[in-house]
Amino acid sequence: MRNRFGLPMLGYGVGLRTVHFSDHLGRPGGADFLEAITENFLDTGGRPLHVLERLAELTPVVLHGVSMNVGSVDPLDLAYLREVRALARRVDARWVTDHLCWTGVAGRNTHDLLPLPRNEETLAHVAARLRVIQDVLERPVHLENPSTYLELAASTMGEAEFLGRLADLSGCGLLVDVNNVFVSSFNHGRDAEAWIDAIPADRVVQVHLAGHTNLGTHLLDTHSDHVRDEVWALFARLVRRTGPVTTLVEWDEEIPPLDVVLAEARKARAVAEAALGDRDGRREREAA
Amino acid sequence: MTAAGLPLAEFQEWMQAVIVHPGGVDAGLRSRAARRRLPPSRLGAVVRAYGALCPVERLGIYASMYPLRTVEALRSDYPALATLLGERRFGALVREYVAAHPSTSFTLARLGDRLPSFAATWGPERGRGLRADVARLERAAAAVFDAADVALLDAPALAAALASEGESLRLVTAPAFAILAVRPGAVAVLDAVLEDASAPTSAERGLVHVALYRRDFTVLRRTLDPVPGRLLAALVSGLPLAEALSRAARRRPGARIVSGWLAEWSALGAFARAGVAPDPSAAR
Ligand SMILES: [Fe+2]
Repeated sequence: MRNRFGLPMLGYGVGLRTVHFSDHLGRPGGADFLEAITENFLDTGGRPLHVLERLAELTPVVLHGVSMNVGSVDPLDLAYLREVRALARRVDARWVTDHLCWTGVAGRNTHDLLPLPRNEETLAHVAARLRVIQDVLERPVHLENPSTYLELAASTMGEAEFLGRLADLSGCGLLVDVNNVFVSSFNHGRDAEAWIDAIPADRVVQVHLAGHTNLGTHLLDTHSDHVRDEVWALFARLVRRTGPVTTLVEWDEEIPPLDVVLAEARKARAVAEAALGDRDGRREREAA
Repeated sequence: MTAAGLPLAEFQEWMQAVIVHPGGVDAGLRSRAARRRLPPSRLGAVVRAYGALCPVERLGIYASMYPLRTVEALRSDYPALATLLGERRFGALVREYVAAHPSTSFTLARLGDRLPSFAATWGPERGRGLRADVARLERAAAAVFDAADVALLDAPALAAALASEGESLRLVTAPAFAILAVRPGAVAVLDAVLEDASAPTSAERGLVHVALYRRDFTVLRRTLDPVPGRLLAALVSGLPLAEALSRAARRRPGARIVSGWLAEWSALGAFARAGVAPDPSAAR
């Protein structure tokens, strides 16, 4: 299945991190595509932007934001959105993503991805804001499920259902972070496989994979390690539903040499191909 | 309050007040801003209780990440100040600073904008000036790093402008250039951090001028002698050459020496063009 936006499968990429700038420049094309953290390139005319522009000439780039604040009750930051639009044009970003969360209120930014109550009030609020955001950006936005550490009494529906309804109401796409599905499900005692099975597959434009840290009582989304086996299994389950899907490995703490991250992206390709081989083989056997 | 939780706006005000409180989550829950929306005894009506962690512990996960994130962001912007103060005191400075000047920008890169002036009045009086100067140097270096890349006034063009304008010449500073007057000890602290050594305590008095410039997107530093330092600082402030010269020295340096300095500074990328920079306040 292809996503309903007609967006291309960009392959298996890695997040662009400052420590790897010179590796990417020296050996371009190591990753099928690169994901840049939007905010790191908005407020600079220096080396980061220069590097991103050069890499974007050689490798497809997608923009991943952390400050769109889609769930906040604050007014939208239109100046920020216009800067995102300008950057997206400048580096020919294939698409723009951010998170289903709020990051601050009353003009403040906590720089965290904070949880929202999943109910009708929030759904209407976020959908209305997303429509404006997509108008300003002149393109669809694709939202990621964040890792969460608490559940709100005001929630009346599950996260996959909320994301599906939000996508229908606003026209947005989805970035499924499979590690976040696992982390949140563990933290709240929910069924991660049911989450994967419930997400509307044709809305999934991109996938994130990352490592987490087990603190015993809960999992922390640290992006500090290899992808865990349970997350690979969930990824395979998702790919069997979506078909080949643009997939990215995130690594943000204790960042290893680029080759280690690239190897993880190659593993994602192998896992996806094996999952699709299984699926297609099964379909053929069923047809025969 | 509704049966299940708070309306979205009140919930967000409440949760933010709880998790950014410098005293931690318990103090956050009891703070006035939080209690206005939710008495601590009603916490269970907003945050569900289940599993291995209670609602306070779950909020505590978010509350504990806030100081970690802000300290880490400011440590990467102010590595020399962090080294000078040491882990514990730098953490205390950041907590107090962030409580007074929380982030209002989409980027953490703006969080430390006011740290130099905050450091100038923070902590024991002894050493405040040095701490503030180290912070100013690091702030300026970050600004030079992030500044826009523009066409520069090269040495031949500068010589031509000098020939036609004479001492009424004014120069517009390039975005990726800065000059600061700081205590010599602050330069020593930055050098020591770069070299991974401990900073010598400097007994030098007075101030030195330090130029910050960018080459191949790397920020470099140069300490100037007193007269050229004062002259360049005066030019960067927008004064015409004649006035800048009389500020820099009682006895004027010769014209050949001055044009040599100007050529040297233009090679550092100090100037964008000859003329007067537009007054940003006039545009409003
Ligand atoms: Fe992610």
